[in-house]
Amino acid sequence: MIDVNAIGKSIVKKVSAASMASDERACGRIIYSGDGIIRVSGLSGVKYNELLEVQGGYKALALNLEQDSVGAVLFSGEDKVCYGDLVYSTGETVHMPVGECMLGRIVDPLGEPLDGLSEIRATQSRPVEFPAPAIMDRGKVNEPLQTGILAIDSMIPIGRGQRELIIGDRQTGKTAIAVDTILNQKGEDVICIYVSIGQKASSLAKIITTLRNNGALPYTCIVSSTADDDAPLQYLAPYSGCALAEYFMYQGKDVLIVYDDLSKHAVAYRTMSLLLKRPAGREAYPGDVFYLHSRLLERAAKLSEEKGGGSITALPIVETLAGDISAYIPTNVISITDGQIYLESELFNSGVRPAVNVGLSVSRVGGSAQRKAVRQISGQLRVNLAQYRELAIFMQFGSDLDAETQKTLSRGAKMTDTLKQRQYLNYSVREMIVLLTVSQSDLIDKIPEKKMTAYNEGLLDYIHANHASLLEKIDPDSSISDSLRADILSVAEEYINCSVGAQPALEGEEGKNSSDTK
Amino acid sequence: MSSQNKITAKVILARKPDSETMEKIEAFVRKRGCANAVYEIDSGIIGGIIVYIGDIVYDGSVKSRLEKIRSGIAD
Repeated sequence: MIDVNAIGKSIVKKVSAASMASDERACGRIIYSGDGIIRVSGLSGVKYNELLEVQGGYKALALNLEQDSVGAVLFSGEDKVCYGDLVYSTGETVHMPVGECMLGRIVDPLGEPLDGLSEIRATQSRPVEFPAPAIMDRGKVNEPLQTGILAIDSMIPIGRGQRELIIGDRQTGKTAIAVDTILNQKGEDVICIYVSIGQKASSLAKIITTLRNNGALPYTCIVSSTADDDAPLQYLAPYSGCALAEYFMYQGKDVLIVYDDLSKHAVAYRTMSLLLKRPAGREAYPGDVFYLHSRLLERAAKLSEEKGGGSITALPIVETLAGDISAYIPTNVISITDGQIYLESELFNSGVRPAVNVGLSVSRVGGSAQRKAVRQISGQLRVNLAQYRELAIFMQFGSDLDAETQKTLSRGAKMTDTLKQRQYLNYSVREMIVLLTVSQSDLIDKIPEKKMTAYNEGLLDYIHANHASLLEKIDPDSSISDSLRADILSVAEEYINCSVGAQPALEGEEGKNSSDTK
Repeated sequence: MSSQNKITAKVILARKPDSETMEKIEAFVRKRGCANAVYEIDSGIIGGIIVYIGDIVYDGSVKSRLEKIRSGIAD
């Protein structure tokens, strides 16, 4: 039953609120419009980054304040505004609606819903441009953010409040790592924000489906600007996403934000800058393209306990061309972030997935956030793998090798195989400890080469089925005792004996698993 | 201040004002540093008045009020 009185009352309330609004405003007239850029004469009181309102209800952002005119970019209505149209200043910057109601939603960079669900009734909003937390407000990064990916959590650990760049060529699994990380935050009390900047709408739709099917949408918000959106919207998207993340961070919550990707963001900003006739610099990017990303990524932080202890962990993504990490945008973002995960197409094509280049990937602050047990057993892993790679390159030409070298090579290959992981198959910390312990023991010699990945997956299933208490015994926050290590190895050996003898069954099981996940 | 005095205000009305309204408008315009004003009749604003002084617009038209109400209800 619709309550007519209530509707009437709310209309009266809204009408009275509307008429009370002030009607004295600064205005100007459009003297040029083209390529989404307008020049406005008048508007003498306007400030930098102020939101403008164009006759007809379109929004624009004032970016160039010149002697006789103001240069602004239109968010919409590029083909609707006319010469001579009135432009009003609003006295405020762009705001993003924030709140719990944004979770599970897909919105554009101005906070309008794109998912066809109900309208968003946010009671609060935050400016999209906001100063980063001050030095004294920051705490130490000391809590891990588990990605669920063995290669990353063991060797390139990410802490809450860290900024870790994911960099690599196209089609190397950059987005896959980010999506896997979001999926792994299920039940971890981490709010996730995925910002798509200039992505193909089809890829974004696929990501949304993945998140929905895996139950990750209820704790995720997607801020979307696709390749067909105007450059100003693509430019705004990461800042809008960050404003939303800040809302949760200042409430003391942990937030993970993915910027996919910042190279397209720089391109969108370059488009705007060139059209606004700002001087072009290296690769035609404007002079402030470094500041563009540094002010964004500085907003990711871990707050001190006095400030609530919340955090924003940022995973910016940058796409390189032909592996060139010395291009302008990659070097900029590498120098801003606290480390990078470098993905290589060569590794990807040879079947190493995730295609992490362990030698070039680093995490500058995550080490102190790593769980104690993981740190203990992964300490040697990086060194061992480096030794193996060096030897493998050196031995490429040699035919007859002594037994010791052959053993090192075979161990290295198996260790590399251990780090291979199927997409959407995330490991828990305890599972990682088991796999790392096994891969660094003598037991690894008994497992046939090329069967390592299958063995690992089988072993975890076997433990879950037959030795569930073993996983409970592992305490990730204290070091692994010798007796626990022996327990893990004895179970692993037990599984070798029952699986290696029954190879076809193992392969059948693997086939079943992969069809399950697809 | 002398340059301010040279600014001409532009006043838009829906219909021809009576002398009392004229006086009010002139007082309003003079208070904001304008020596003279040009008048324009535009029935498109339905009713009320719009005054442009330099960059500032004082919009008291019925049309813009109605638009505000429309967008207020739509939100």
